Amino acid sequence: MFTYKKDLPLDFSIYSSAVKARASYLYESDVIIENQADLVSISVISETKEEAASILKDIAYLFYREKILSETKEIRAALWDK
Amino acid sequence: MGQIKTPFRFRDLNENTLVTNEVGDFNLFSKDFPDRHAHGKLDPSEVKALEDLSIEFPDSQKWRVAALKNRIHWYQNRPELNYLILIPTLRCDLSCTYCQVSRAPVNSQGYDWDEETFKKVLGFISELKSKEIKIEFQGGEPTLRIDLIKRVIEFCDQKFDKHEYVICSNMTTLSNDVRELLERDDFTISTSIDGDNDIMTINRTQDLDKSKTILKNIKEVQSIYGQHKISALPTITSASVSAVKSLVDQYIDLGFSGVFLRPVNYMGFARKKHSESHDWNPVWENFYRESIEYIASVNKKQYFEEYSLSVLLKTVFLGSDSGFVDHRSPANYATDYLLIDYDGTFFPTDESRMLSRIGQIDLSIGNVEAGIDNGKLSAINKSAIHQDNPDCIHCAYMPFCGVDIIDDLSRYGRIDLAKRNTWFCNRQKYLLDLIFKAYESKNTALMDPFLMWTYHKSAPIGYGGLYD
Repeated sequence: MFTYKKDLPLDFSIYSSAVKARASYLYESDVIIENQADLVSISVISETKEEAASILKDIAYLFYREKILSETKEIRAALWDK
Repeated sequence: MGQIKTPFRFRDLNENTLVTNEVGDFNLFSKDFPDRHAHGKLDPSEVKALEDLSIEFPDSQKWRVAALKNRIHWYQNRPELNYLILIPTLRCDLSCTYCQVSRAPVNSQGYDWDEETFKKVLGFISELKSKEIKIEFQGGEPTLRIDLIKRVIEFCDQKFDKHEYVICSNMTTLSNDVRELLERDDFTISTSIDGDNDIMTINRTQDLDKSKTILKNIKEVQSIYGQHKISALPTITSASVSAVKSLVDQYIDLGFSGVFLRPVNYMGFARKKHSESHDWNPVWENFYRESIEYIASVNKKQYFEEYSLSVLLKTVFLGSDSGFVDHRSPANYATDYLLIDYDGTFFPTDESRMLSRIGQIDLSIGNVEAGIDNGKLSAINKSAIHQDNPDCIHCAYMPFCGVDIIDDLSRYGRIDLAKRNTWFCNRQKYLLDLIFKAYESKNTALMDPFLMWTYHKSAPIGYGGLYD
């Protein structure tokens, strides 16, 4: 088994629960997301290095995407008249 | 000065990251762009590129929001109901292995419009507000009831200022009635050619002589009435997947200017006899890639396009709306397009009647007697939108893509699977990756024909600003 880790700045912690829910639905591998005192820690445990690295990148992307959508939620609603 | 941010999405290609805004404007950024953007470490050229895409810009440029909004409204503005698929009969004289509509045998009873239903169909058409109409007669084999077709045409000629008619026929016969209709400027035939006579016999006729007759009739229409009077499309099964070049060559030899490489739909008889069509698979990807490369090489000598890719190319590079319901979101079923079945039942699409016919789910939305069931239609339409889907909402291809809940229901019996795991999503990603990776690598062997298909002529000098 291989473990890959990545840390994100603490301001990403508000998206952790949304990303955890999505990750548990999308991946069978173990994905551990923890909000710590000064950062968000992501760990992926998988059978191959390639898969662990790929999932870790995907998880980071899920955080980035949640941030983008969260920051643009109101203007998106206005664009689509909702 | 404040900043305005609008939604954007990104996707890794081979060497770059593709970034798209809410309406499908796009640009390529370096592969580490998502990381650096998330951490606020963009260089000035990237900041400018995001501004050009109306993704992040100073609030002094608020007009960009209005511009985006206008484009969303334009895209969402659908015309009133002006396209009907009519099924005067479900009977057919062929029994194709993949028959997606589960046709009825040619001598069976109760599968045609009866006189009462027919009058109600005309009654429904008479209430349409549009001044234009396009009618596609499907079946079964619709020419088995050419008498009803002629009466519908006669009625619509009187009611509408502009009219267009298409019969989807298997071309086993070419009757005098059909010949008479072919004399009209507003009438064409659409048919199926899956390959040479051997493949036609395996897939469609089970009779070599009948396969030869079909081809003879098609050629006769072309020679007497003109090449433009008949179009054809293949259904790709495992029988034809290994014969890419001969299929394309056959279409070229017959004088067609393109081909729609359509895999067999997981509907009707195909569910039993072509069960391999359930999943998106590498066999199809290889077939498609090989076909596109071959078609691209053909374009060095003559214009010949692949229509499923052309539709997406026009959406990507011209922002055009193909009108296909599975290429749009919200799908807005039954706004501009409706199917009336052989018994007068309404369906939102051809595929939805196929699925209802096998009893998997009832997707009917009313009938000629009671009118459109707006409650049910609304329930279906509420599910047919990708802008709120947890996968699509993050996908760089969302602005170019549609939603196909009918296909999801057919394959999986549900619409709530992660979209990224569905056949529809995998096909769309495959086709759009093909386009954007060719664009990214400046692969002119592919991009030259791609842009010809986009513009219907040679690509503009400098590729219309696509390449520096």
